[in-house]
Amino acid sequence: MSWLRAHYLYFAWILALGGFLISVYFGEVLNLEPCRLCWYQRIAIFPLALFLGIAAYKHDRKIAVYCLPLVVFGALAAIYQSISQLFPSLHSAFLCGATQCTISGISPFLSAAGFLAMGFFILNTPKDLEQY
Amino acid sequence: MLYGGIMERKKNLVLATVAAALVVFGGAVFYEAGQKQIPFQVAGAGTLLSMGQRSSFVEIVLIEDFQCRNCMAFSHQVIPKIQMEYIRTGKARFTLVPVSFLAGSQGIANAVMEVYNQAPDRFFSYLEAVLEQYQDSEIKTADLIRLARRTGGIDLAKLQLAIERGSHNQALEKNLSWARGMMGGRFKTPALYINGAPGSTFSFEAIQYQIDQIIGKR
Repeated sequence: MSWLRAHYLYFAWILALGGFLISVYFGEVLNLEPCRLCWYQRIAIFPLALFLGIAAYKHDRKIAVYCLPLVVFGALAAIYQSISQLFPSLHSAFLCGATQCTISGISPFLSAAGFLAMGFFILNTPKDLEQY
Repeated sequence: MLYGGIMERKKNLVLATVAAALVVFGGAVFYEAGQKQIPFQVAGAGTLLSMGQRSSFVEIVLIEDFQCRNCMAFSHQVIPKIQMEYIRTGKARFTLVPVSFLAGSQGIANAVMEVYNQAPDRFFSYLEAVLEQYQDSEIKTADLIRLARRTGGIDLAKLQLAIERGSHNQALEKNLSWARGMMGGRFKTPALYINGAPGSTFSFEAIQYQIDQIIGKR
């Protein structure tokens, strides 16, 4: 358990890195146009992949102050996207833009879970590693 | 000492992860590049709702689900302009491939397909009326019939039967399996193809640019 806690920042970064690579793969390799809500999540995940990588390398817990607003922003966009898939009447063209609906509707749910898990890992990272 | 050891291991772990991520991502890119592109052919689809001259140099194909709000918003914005600018002028042929994977879209798809079967010349007016109605509220069978009555020239009893019995459901399934097979993991709606090449579903201006390029090259 203590080993896991010592690596919470690393896990948060792995999630951000995974999200970043998947997003780039879908957008640039498969050429899928991201919808507006996907763009909001990208805005959050791209810097997180960088900041959390540096933080995990240096075990710098202070990074939480900078990362948490991005995590909250990304999580809100992902949660809204997930809910609007379950309840299409909540879909707003202003927030969602006029792009595609995909048949694989699981990605916003995974994204929301990823952002929430990142938030958990960042908030629960131990202040110092000496006790581990 | 112990703290230093943990820090060193963590740094190595981060660096190893970066290397592994680069290898995995590079592998995925190479794998995708090596995949054979399936040539775009609408021939395998079930029912196509086509308008315009067969001899047109440009062929626009739009794949969409009638319960997908983005599809409806896109169509409402773009289809009238395509009709005005390209179909009436004989510059392009337009084909709509309705698919149904979202709950509640079969009724609208059946209505639109039935109208096309009965009176192809009323198809665009009916489709535009449906799209207009969709902007304001959900569409029910009664609305589909009312809009058909307003469009005129359509056998309303036959239309109602087609909606209720789902007369075109098989064709819709065939369309969906064709679209999935053709797009593979990239399946999405709305999907637009101009002479077989993917087109933008963001704006009419982007479509116009792509078509102008094709016409210009010719």
